[in-house]
Amino acid sequence: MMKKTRSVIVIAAILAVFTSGCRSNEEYQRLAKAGNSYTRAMDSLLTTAGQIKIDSTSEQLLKDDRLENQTLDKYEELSKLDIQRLEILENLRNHNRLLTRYFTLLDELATSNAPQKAQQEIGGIVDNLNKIGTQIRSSPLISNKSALQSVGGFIVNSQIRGVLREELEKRKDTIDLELKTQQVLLETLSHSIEQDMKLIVESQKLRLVIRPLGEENPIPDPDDWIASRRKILTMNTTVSELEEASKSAGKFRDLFKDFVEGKLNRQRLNTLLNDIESFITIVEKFKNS
Amino acid sequence: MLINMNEIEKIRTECLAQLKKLEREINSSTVQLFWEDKKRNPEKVKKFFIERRAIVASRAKLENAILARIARSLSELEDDLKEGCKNLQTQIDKLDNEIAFLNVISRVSGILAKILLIV
Repeated sequence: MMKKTRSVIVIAAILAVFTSGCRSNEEYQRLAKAGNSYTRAMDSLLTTAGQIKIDSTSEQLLKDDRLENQTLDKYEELSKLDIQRLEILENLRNHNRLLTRYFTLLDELATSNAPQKAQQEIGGIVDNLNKIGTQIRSSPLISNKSALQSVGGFIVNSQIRGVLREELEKRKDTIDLELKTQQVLLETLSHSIEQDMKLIVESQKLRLVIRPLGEENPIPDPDDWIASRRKILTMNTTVSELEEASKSAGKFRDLFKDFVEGKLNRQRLNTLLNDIESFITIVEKFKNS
Repeated sequence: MLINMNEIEKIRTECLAQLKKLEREINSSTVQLFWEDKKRNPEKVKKFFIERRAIVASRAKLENAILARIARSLSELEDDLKEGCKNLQTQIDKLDNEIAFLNVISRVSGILAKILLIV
């Protein structure tokens, strides 16, 4: 009877391995981590894009005011477009939160401590059964506790892998389409930010650097003027960094596709994670500039 | 003649690129200072302002339209993503239930062992 039970457990474990695919839970964890970093980068970009758009319009209004006195209608003409932009960006952020939730749940499942908990509970059951066996027939019922614990943990682990594999298999086309559309979004947003930043740089150059120089009186605080000038001139470098960084973040789609097809290696995943982190840093730099 | 979506997209992208270039040119410091000069004819200044404003607004409108279209495309995928989230949550709950079930067995067997010890 005992032998039969053990055989059933071993067969169940083997079946679990074959039905769960070959990727380890750690690989799924890394994919989920990359997905979370990617959605965090997108959220940061969406927030920054809104702020930069507002600043760009503010600079435009100040410039326009020097040519034609601004009325409420003239102000609203541009301001309502900003409000519209913010609403669209907020919709996109809400959608992005759904993708974040998806990757968070993937991560939660991949990092689940259920296998360890299962081992612990099985250990407790075996101990109790052995106590019962010793009471009834003066010998333990199960001799190899650790083997049973390992098999139990293994089955739960395989079960998790199976669920992750099935879920990604089922959702792969939707996520591919999602990431493909997000590549267009990334490109559109980074080009829009790039344009807004170029306009801001030009406006601030005139407002904070050239105009004070043209005044009859000397610049009241030269150190402030020097700092402003340096900041404005170095903004262009950050603008060019953004485009490159957004291209790297867009590679997440290829990575996801390769992962599902089992062609992804750890090095590429790590490289992409670094790229996404750099992308977030650049976007944050924009936000604080 | 029908124009397919890719061609419309191409035209829109080209149009946006041209608008952006023009927007940068008419917003340059040189152009701004030229029109700020008091010697300029106020009517011409006004005309320049109106035209510049139209270009600035057009770029914003075009970008808003593109972004709104992307947002619509993404929202079409939401039902499937929500289903994915639901499935993952169900599987996480199922695992928790399995562990809870093992815990119940462990406790019941523990009680049985204690009863046998007393008997």
